[in-house]
Amino acid sequence: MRIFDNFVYKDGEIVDNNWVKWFHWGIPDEKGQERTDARNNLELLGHCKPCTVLSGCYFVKSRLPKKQAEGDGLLHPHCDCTLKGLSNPTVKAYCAIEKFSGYIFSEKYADNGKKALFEGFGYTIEDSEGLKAEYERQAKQKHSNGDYIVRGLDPQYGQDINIVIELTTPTGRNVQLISGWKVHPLGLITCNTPLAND
Amino acid sequence: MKLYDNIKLTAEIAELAQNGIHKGYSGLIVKCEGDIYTVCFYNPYNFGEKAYAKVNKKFLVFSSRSDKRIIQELEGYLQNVKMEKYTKLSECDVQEYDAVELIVEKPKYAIAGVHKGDRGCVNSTYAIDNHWEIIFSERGTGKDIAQIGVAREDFIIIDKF
Ligand SMILES: [Zn+2]
Repeated sequence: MRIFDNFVYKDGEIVDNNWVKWFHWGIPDEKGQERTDARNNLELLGHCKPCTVLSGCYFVKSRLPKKQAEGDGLLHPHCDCTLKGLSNPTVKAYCAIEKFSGYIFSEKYADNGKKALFEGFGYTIEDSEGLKAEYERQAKQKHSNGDYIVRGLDPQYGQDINIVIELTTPTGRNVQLISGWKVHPLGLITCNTPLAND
Repeated sequence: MKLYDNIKLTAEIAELAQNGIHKGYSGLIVKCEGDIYTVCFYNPYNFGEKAYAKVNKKFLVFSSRSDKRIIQELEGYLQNVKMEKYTKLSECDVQEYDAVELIVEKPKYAIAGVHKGDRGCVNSTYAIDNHWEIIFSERGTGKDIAQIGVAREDFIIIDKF
């Protein structure tokens, strides 16, 4: 067996590139009403919610959602899910501007300390757009290199992952922040929180 | 539009609205009797919640055709389902980015480190089985405690988005 088959050179680094797509029958990959209808119907029939939310999502094979129960099956015993190989998937990262303007820098959430932390780095709410763009750029690059940490699959809204974001702050410090993202079908990840550090 | 098609409700109908079923909600046709269809409506704000209701087909519009295998499973499922048990959908008053506070102490939250009085931010646009996804954070440190699902009756909204 050639164990290096999965690894490729990318941006001067050796990265894991063995991508797979999670698949549960009956669910269109594309987000929209048709997918929602199918997920509703499968839920009505008692199919497992996490399995249907994962269908169509891309993962590096060495970093899959954690099994919820021992036994046969990808996620749980009698799981209908399978994995399909993917070559060179396109990945996208999206961070809503509100994650900064309406959360991190919001007065409403000031008591969690995130606002003070970012302001201590020299950022203000005016930097929301720039931070959003930088988070998206780094998340896309790291995710496409398989450089993410798998979290639990509860409460079933989708697989959450962590990505380490590296910033050179306006005050000149180099900081590493653990950000939280959710995996969606067809290679999309969206930011849950710019600063989890949990 | 036929049996087992997915549909959308195109009008606000008083009789349905008082049971929490509103214009734009989607559902599945489970029975056709002339112009009157029985629809299993799904709550778009609470995944997993359903209500069966009769509605004139003129208020429905086709959304998507069900997968063949889903139809096969539905045929068996609907023979045994007690439709009269599911008649109402709950109304939703939660929005993404609402600031919330946990008002109960429960083992299922404590196991994740979240306790009564802890505050968080709603991270989902819909609930799952009446549970909303909330990111709870420590006070003052910038660190999160956990991202968990919390039952609607277990938290209050302290600041709307
Ligand atoms: Zn499964």
